[in-house]
Amino acid sequence: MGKQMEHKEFLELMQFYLYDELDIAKKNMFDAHLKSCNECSKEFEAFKEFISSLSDEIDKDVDPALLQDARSELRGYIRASKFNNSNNNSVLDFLKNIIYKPAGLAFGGLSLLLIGVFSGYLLFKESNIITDNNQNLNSDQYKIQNINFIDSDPAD
Amino acid sequence: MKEKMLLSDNELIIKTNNGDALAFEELIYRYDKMVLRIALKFTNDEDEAKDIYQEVFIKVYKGLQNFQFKSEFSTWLFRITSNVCITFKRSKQKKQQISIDDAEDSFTSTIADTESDLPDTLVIKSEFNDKLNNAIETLSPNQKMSFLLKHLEGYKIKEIAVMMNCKEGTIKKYLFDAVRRLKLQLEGNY
Repeated sequence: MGKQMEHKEFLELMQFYLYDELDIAKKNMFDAHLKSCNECSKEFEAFKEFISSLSDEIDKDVDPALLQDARSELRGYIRASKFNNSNNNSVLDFLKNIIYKPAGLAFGGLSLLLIGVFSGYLLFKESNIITDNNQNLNSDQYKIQNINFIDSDPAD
Repeated sequence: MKEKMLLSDNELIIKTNNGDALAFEELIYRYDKMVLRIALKFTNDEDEAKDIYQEVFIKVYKGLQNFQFKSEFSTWLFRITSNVCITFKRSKQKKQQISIDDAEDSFTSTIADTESDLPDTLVIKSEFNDKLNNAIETLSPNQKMSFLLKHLEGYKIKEIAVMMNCKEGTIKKYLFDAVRRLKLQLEGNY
């Protein structure tokens, strides 16, 4: 039973032994078991062959044309993104200059003045309309005042 | 003769963040082959691999300003690569589930595309290599990524754990299960 457990642990550890990822104590234990157990030794050799075939057979080459293609696409994206950023930045810089520089302040003051003049014009125009309406009303009243009603009973 | 000084990754990052585009290119060219190789193995498709490559480096480009220098650039890069690959695979699987009604048509067209894409001069890969690629395809995204980072790139489990934002024990489990699964599928072929 004890040997079975040991065997099971050995099988679990052999992958990490081959990766060289075991601590010293586990590695020593593993080596000791490998020397003493024929069954595990055979198992280990077969597994070692499998792991090395994985590393050998896995295709590590990248087609240079594919790499170049990927690089040029990325370069294109970055250039486009930089262009957009620089455009956005120049608009932002322009707006900042307008707001913070003295010329910008003058421009702001002038804008306020124009807004004031325009508002005043609107208000003035509004009062004219009211006056016109009043004049119209007065002329109507005048007209009503000048209507000659026929008195049906002059004795009243 | 004066030799050209090779700048460290961190020096290149600082130069990049100061607007040096050439520094960014140099930084990318140190690692982009590895990223493309992982993406290619992960997807088994050149176009998808290029999409992953692009997405990874766009994320790097955008995130470089916030790089804290707490880890190696390569660790950070492969963490991004791992995330992009796994997300890509999951979203692809989701799409495949949604379009299950069209499965038969897609299957037929995929076969047709594959056949028509085969160039005459294609180098014939070994039978084992094909079987290995097919077997790798059957692994879960996490198992596949752990396996590739270990067997393709040769990273230590500790490094893979940082890259994949997992505990070392979890990576060991992914690797253990991946290798057992591959062994089962490739039995008698190696």
